[in-house]
Amino acid sequence: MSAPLLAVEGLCVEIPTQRGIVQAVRGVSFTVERGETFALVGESGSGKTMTCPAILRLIHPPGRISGGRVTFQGRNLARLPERDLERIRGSGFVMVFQDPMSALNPVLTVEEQIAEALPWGRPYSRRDRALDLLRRVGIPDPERRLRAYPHQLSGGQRQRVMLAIALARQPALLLADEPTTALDVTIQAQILRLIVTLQKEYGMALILVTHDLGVVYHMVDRVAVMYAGQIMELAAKGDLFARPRHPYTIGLIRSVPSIDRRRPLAPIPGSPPDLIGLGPGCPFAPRCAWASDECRTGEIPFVRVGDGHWSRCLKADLLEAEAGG
Amino acid sequence: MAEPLLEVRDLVKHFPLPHTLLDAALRRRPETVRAVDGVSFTLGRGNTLGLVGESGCGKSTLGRCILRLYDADRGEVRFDGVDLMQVTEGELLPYRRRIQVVFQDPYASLNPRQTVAKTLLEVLDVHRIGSPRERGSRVAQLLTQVGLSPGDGHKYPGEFSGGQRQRVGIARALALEPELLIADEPLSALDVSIQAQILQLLLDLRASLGLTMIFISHDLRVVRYLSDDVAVMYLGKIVERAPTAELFARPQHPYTIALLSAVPEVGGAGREEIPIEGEPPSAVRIPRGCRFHPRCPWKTARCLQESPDLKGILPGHTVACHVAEARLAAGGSPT
Repeated sequence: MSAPLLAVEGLCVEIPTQRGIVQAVRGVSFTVERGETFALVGESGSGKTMTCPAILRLIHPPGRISGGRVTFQGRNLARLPERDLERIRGSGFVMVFQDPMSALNPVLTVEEQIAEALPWGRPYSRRDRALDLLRRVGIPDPERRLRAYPHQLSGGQRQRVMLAIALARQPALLLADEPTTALDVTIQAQILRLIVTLQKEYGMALILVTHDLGVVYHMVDRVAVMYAGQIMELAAKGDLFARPRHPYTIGLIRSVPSIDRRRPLAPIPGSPPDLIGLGPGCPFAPRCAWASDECRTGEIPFVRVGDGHWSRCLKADLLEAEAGG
Repeated sequence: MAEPLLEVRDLVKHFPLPHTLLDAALRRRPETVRAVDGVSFTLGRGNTLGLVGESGCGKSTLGRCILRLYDADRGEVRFDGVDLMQVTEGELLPYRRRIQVVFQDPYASLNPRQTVAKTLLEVLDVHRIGSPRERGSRVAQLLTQVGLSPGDGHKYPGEFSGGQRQRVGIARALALEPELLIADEPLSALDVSIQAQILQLLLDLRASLGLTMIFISHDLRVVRYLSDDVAVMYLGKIVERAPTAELFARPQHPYTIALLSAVPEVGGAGREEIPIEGEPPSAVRIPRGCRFHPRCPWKTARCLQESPDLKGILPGHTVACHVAEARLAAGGSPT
């Protein structure tokens, strides 16, 4: 088997604050294959949002990457000089954010921003190429939009422009952090359809960071569920929804309201832990109905519970009968 | 049927955009945002109406007009038989007590420099409810009612998590024992697991207190759990209203069907889907004819000219669409 496109091993991120050190990401490991769609799912404070910039080594001080290794296309990013890293950030992978307004330059036109992203030294007109990209991302009236500034566009259109800029670099991996969270539901559906279409067309891999299990269900191949800076469960999408093997995943699935009201709501009690001074034991134990003394004290291993299916739970075997709710 | 608790008739609220001297010199016509553009509905005691729609559809403005946080331009808001639009500011206080609101962001609606108990006491003081001693025990009771402990009253809003703050926001709204509770996107700022907790709390409170509610949300999934009836809004108007189960089983308006098919449902939806393209037009330039026609896959020549009225086409089910009725008669609707 060939090496994966991206391998993340034991990634840790710490952020010192006045109250103490926030352990935002605590030993996250996963791989992404070429062309694959992978989701990092979790709620606020789960570490999902910190993981992507940490992969790109873009953590701003005082935050720091305190451990782990990231291999992209066979190269260890930690060993690369800043210049090579810059090149990989520019062309290897691209990031699309929740709020495109903060990622777009407010004083440049759409055309200038797409042109900036196009590789140098190729014999084509930059304008035609930019126009072509805008058409591909489904911007209405693309000739006129080329001259527009970001503030003249709607939220959905800005996200489309972000995608056009991303595609200009023909990346192997697209990192999308809550790309549709700020959008209305009909626009969200349009953008998600567009991302899937473009991803297939360009053969890109996609890491989707999201809090929305519904979006995960419709978009991805594999899922990692994060909680308190750790991956709690990792599985193919079908297995995760049909046979969840971590109490947090089960709770999360049961918390999602269903439009057909097929399930009664079963909220998870309590709230997520403080990420400062996390002790040993399972961080979910205080909210978990299955937790016992050993869950609160011991180190919890990440164990294989099925084909490509991993869970960080001592009771994973007991959960088999419970699952599928 | 008993008299409804709330009856809204032809309510209109337009916001004029700034019109400068330059605009006048260039002979530009003054423009207005037609946020609420002729809305009528009734709400019976003890019932919950879900008001859904996307950003800019006017659902929040409508809620604020009912609360008299905005003064509507035209129309009637009859609460328990009295038209609130005719009540003077000075006479409004007793009605404010009977109609309360929970907002999306509890942090923005709580005083950060005041303990939660003080905030709740203040509400009781303003409306002169009970003796000072009774007020103290009422605060403890309220905190317990929303799933906090009486000791939490000594904390400041900043010491609570988002979900707990929303519990405080709900406690404040309930302090006055309102008859009508308007909840404006109360779950939108919360994480999924916390959202489910607050949704459950609202369900429990409604059952135990017999509240009448208007639940404003962009999320059809949440509305499904909490509402007896659902009204779907688009660009300032209600386009469809039906009992909840009926609306989700037999949506008739193409916009409702599109909204339902856009919801990313775990497990897939298995219903008629209308993927719609394009974005809603601005409420400044509302299209002629049916306001949904530029995005509608069913549109006919008539839709470009004539604005459809809300019409009952099934029992308890009203729709504003020229095509839906004909489609239903032809048996073309999903069953």
